[in-house]
Amino acid sequence: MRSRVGTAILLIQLGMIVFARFHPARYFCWAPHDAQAEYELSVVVAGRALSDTEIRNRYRMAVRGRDPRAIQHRMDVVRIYETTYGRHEDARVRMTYTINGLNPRTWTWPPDVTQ
Amino acid sequence: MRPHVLLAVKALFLCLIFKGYATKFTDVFVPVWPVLDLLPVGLLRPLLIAIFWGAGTTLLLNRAVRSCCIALGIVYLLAMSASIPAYRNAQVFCGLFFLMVGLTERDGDPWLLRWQVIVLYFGCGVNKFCEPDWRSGQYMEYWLREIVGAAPYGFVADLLPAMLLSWLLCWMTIIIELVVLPAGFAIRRFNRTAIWIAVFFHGASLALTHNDFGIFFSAILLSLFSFIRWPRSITLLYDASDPVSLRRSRYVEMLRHSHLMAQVGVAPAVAPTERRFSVTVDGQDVGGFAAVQAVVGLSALTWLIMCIMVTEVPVILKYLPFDLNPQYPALAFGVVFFSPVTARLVDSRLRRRENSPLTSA
Repeated sequence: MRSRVGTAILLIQLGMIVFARFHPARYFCWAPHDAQAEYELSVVVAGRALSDTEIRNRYRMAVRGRDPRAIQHRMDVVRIYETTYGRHEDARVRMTYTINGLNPRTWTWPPDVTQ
Repeated sequence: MRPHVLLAVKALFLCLIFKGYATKFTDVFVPVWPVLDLLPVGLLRPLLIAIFWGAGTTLLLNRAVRSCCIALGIVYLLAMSASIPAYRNAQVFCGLFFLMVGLTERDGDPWLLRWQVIVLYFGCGVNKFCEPDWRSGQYMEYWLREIVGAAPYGFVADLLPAMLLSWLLCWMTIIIELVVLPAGFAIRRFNRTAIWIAVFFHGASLALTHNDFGIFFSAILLSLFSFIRWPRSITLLYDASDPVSLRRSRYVEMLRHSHLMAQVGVAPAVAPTERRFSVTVDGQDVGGFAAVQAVVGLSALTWLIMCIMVTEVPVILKYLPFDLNPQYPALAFGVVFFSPVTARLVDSRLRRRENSPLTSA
């Protein structure tokens, strides 16, 4: 029985490795240091721009910095936060980032908003 | 549970404490699995800390070891699932390390842990291979030059055509992670070679980037224990009437008493034939430096010291009179001391000394 559970966990990981080929998130699929993302966040809540400390307390992550994991994880934090804990706060989030030092890009929340 | 696997999980638990991971758990906040948001606020963190210390201490005391490993595994998998900002691959690996050992049959072969290591390398290899910046070499160029600031890399890379070194490093990493190590660990007869490749691979990474990736460096090296053929018995034979043999046996006895984790039997007996001191591993006489390697390698004290050095325990390091990263000497000691090349060199030197006219006279 124990061996079967262990085997199932190994197979789930293989499934997650395959799933990662079709999705930008990289949870439980062994993708550390696949990309070096450099990012910076700016957040406006109800028309007021949040300070660095407020942003850090809100999302429990640095306002700007580097991440050796998929940048999608940072986006997930903002997206999940703003659709659950902070869904009534009308936040506008803008994240500028580069992947491996190339091609500066911008991601916003909500997706159709530009600040 | 087999002694070397027990030794590895206990060492991993100690490494997690040494590295400060015992209190790094967070409460539920933006979890990977939304269902975790249903847990009462403020419950998870103290619960995880309590289980970590309870299960870990019980594990060290050799009580219900497999259940403790399952508990520790769940602690880390739950902690990593509970908060995306806190998600770390290295700690996921620690959780699966414990879990796979806990799910191994009683006294069974640790094949689950071995396959966990294989899946880890294979996953890393696939993911890197699928990234265009890894295939082009851009990743290493940016990481080593801009982020790490690795001077040796910059020096060599500037002597070569642009991106050549980074391209070589990227593809070497991909091939090692995707093909060499999974195949080497999957096929038993290549296990020993794969262990050495893994040690050099991670050692080189540490030396180049000065980064041990949190607990990953310690955890991956400890997981290699599952590929080692650990002896079931070791017997020390010495002549009690010979002072030199007696002194040597006392040194070995000191190590034996420090078998806090691994259990190895040492039976004193009258020396066989001419040799007055010998070591028998699984019934086979092991002579020369290989005997020293066996005795030191089977001592839990050796691995406890290695854990302290590899994890850079700050409370110990601050008393050192010099500023030295102890990871390098620990790695160098492991590589040099346990190498079969070292055994051959030492033995040939000893033979030369024994055969020299001065010694004979």
